Amino acid sequence: MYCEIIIKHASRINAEKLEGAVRPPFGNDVLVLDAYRKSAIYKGLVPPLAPPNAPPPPTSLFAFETVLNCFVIVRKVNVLLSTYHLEGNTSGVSAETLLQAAQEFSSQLISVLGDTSTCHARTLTVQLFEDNGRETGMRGELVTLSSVFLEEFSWKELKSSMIPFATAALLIWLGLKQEPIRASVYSLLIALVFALTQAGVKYWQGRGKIKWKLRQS
Amino acid sequence: MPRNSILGPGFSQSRSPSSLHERLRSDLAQGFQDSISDVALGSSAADLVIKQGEQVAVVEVKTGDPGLPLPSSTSAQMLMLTYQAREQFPGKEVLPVLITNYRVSDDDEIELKQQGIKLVRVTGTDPEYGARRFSSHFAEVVGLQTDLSDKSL
Repeated sequence: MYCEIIIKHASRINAEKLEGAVRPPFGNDVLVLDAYRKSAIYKGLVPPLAPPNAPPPPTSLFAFETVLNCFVIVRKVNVLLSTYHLEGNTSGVSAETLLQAAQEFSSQLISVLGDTSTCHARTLTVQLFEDNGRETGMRGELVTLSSVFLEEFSWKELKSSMIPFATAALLIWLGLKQEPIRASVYSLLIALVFALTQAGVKYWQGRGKIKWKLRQS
Repeated sequence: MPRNSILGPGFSQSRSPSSLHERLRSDLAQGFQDSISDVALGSSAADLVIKQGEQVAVVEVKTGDPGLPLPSSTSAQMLMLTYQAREQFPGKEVLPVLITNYRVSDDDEIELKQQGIKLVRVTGTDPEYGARRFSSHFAEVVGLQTDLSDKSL
């Protein structure tokens, strides 16, 4: 398996700028050809495994060793985007270790880019692929203030506040401030209605599907 | 709209329970009766292989977040698929075809073209999309003929 990390930069970048920003702090250079030879997806495109008369492999900028027995190939730069290939040095590197390496490398990369005046990262996306290049469907994104803000303002987060709001509104409308038992019953009924509605909607959306979970610790 | 682009299926859950990837593949299989799904080709795998005379189309359906660029390993993946299809179908003309909803930059398009990879782009917004329309567009881009009669079109 391997990961592709896509960084969207705050302003236009080019290969020279990126190489100047990323290559010295990470160090541990390896030849791109050697990195291709270690990579499950690229090794078939370079000697000795490439077929005779095969076209040259895709070009990359540079490569280096990184954390947890993984290596990185800086693949390409395109206007605002830069793309990085992260893979284990051997097939013994598990998917879990690879995801951990993606986390650690991404944090270092964001920090390194943040120290420059021209290559600041705006967003970061990681995708996990199978050895043959197919998507696994697993994708991660950098936690940013705006992403947290949007998440907090989603219905998933707001619904818990809606129950006391609806309860208070109903009690005020019915003038039940002085009748605690009836007020409690109404509150319970509202909570039940919310829970049942939500369960119905969730079941309708998720019927027949398996709910997968990623173990994170 | 980008070249070689067709509007893809809507995302309504009620239309079909399957993913965009599965819908595209199944719609294409309907349009080409001599097609086989999920074909292992050495260490690679094709989503669909369509045999038509001396030609064999090896199709990879690559779907994900349409806001993201085409994964940078796609051309390598398609090249490996082509090499392995040539070994599997000696004497046949192998046509590698990539169907994708990712954003394809001009550079990516040039790279794919240089490698002889046909590109069919899809988007996921048009509820009028259907198997016939998609298969016809695919056939036009790749240079094959669908098994759907003109009457049914």
